[in-house]
Amino acid sequence: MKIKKLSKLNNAFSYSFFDWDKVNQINFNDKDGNLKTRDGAFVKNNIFFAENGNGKSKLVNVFKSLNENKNNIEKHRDRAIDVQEIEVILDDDSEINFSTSWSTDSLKDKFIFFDKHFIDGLVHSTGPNNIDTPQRRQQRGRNIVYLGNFAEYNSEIDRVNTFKDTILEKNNTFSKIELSKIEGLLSVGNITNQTLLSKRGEIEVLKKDGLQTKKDELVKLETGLEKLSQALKDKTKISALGSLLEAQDNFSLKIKTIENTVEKEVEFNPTEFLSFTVAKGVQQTLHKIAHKKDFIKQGMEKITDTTTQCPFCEQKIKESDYLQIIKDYQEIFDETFSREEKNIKILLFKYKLLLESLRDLQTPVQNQIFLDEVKKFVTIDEVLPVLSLSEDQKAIIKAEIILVSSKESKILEKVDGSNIEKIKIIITETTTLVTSYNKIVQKINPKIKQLKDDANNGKLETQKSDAETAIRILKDNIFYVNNKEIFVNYFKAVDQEQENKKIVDNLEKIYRAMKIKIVEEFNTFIIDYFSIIQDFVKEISPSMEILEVAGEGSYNRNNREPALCGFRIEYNGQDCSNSLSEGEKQVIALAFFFAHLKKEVNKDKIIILDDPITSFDTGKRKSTAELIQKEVKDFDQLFIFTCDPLFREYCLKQIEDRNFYYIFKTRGSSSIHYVPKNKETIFTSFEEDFKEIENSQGSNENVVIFGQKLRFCLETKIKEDYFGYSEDKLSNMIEQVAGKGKKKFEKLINNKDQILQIYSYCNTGGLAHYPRDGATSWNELKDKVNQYLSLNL
Amino acid sequence: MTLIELIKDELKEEDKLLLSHLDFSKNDNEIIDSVKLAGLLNFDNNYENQKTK
Repeated sequence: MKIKKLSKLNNAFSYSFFDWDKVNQINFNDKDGNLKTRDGAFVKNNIFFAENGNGKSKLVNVFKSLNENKNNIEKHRDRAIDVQEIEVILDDDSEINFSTSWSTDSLKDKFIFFDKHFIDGLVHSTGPNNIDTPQRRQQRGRNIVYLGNFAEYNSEIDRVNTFKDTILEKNNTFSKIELSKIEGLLSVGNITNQTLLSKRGEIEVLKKDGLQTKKDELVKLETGLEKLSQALKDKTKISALGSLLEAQDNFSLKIKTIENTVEKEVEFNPTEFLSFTVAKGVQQTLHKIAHKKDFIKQGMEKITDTTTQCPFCEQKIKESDYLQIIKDYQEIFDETFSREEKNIKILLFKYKLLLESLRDLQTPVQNQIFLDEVKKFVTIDEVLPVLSLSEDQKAIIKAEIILVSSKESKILEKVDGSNIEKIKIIITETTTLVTSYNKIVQKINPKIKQLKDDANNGKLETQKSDAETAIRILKDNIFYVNNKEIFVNYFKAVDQEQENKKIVDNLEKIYRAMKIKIVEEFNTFIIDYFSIIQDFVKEISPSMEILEVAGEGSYNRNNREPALCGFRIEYNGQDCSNSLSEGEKQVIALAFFFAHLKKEVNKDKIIILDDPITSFDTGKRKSTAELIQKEVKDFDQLFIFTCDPLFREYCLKQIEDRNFYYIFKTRGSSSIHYVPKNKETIFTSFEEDFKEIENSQGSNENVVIFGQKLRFCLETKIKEDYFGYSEDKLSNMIEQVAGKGKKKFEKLINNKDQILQIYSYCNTGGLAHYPRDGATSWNELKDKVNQYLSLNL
Repeated sequence: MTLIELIKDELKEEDKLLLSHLDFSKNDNEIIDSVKLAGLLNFDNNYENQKTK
């Protein structure tokens, strides 16, 4: 792609108004007399000449703006409030426009520039002893990073690094969010994240089964600890603690008897002795003798089988009447009867005692007091049952006691209504209850003893400490079981965070590998690159006293700096980069630039050279023009800008397929003027215009244009044609003066005054480009132009 | 050849796998989505259903 025209430059930098076609479109007749039009459009190579301040570098700035696709087009200094308009026509006749911004970025990165910026900013020494500091590089400008593919490599490294940072940041956020979900719990559990993670293995195998048991256990332990604390406070009370008493448990219907001299236990039957009775007659008899029983007993002892007379009334005993009476009396006072009566009384007494003990059954009062005291210091799980009969049972017992009392008062009478079967059940139940009670007492008493022993032996402190440890462990256990699900989820998130971290680590590895690789590649690249520079230096300046120009490449990413690439110049082994002249620096800069062009893979670029030879001598100007022709020919298009007439001439001679343009500043606006290529020199071209001046309009613009052209022709023609000013060799200059020029010098000498008068007119006030107010007129100018033509210099 | 392509052969398989997702014509989030899809990254908590004390 090429640029065909800058068809409009309106209010852009020093171009206040410039219309390409108005300035450069000229109709002419060809050799066959046909009317032709030429517009001076750009060709492959384009050379611009302008004196300083005419708009040469401003045109370069337009190209830079296109290259960067930036809107950095300054307005003309006299037209700050006016609109801007730039129109660029490409070789396919497409247009690129600028008003406030470029209409397309199709020319972005399309240009390669060589200008002061390239020299100052990109070409620098790596300094003596290979030590360079960021400050020094900063002073000199940016480093060369765009060489080869290194700009792309740099951005790849930056992307990997940025991507790594992005993941790291996301992972940190992820980690913080996950941690925030358990922070409350960590606070409740009074544990750190690290502690939690260290317990991961234990927590993951915890089961919820038995949680309630653990909670109960905790309550128990805490109660125990409380009691231990109390015990430690009240040691004296502990030593005063008593044992519990067992309850009476002898509720038996058994009685001891001696049978055949052998004592044995038999169970008596209350029904039997309650139903004990004698015949009705005996009872009546006993009733009759109730108060004279002893008397009758003594009398009865006197009656034998042969007794016929009553021992009391001494009357005859009628066998029929008294025999039964005697028999009854004998029965009453029979020894067996007496013994049995006595036995019944005993049984009644025992039975009554049993019944009364059942009735009066109660918990030993002392025991509960003791137990309450003990419980202050030790946990007693056992509960003493209440020793008492139910109301129903009590009623049964009471009724039975009344029955027994009744029997006691009427021992020979049968008493009915015994509830002996129920009484037996009550006895069994009560016995079971009391036995149970006593067993509990038997369990509690050793604990009391143990407590007392522990208090005496100083074991309570240890027990307290053990209890505290056990409580802590159990509490932790319950805490982790309760929150297991949350913690396990957190552990999974931690795993994920670690997996993510691995990716960050892998990216770091890739990043480091890239840094190592770019340094390797860079150093390999610049060895070759600088050998090309070295060759170019020799080509531009064979006489330059530089023995070595070698590349120094380093790539330190610690400070996220771009790659450093500079040159090392040694003379006799000593660094001499700091003592380089401006010309030498520029030689290296240009060599750099040509090396860069040589290395450039994409040849579809437009090359811009803005005064590449400002500090060069004649020889270097010529070799530069030759190199430009050689090194730029493969690129799409070339624009060279110079204010140097010699370099201009070299370019015009060396560079093929070129157009030449003159940039003037007229009425405060720069303008580009095409110089037809069939003219050998510019002034020849201008002289052709002078001859046609009568056909030109007498506008102020033409006054300025023709005024400048007149001055340029007068000065350049005399300098070059007479004195060989544009010759690069002294021999050529002498040849010019002594040969072709010699014949002309007479004309120069003879017309000296007129020549100086015309020159003075062109330089009036030092503003040859501007019409003088009032005094200058088109006719005045035409007169000077005609004078110049008539001199035929 | 890009720098990444230049270092590719020197990397381990796991790094090559990661590298295969680094398409820098995409933005970071798009690349992250790609790496996430490959199961190499995860910033989402899939273990919700949590309860707080």
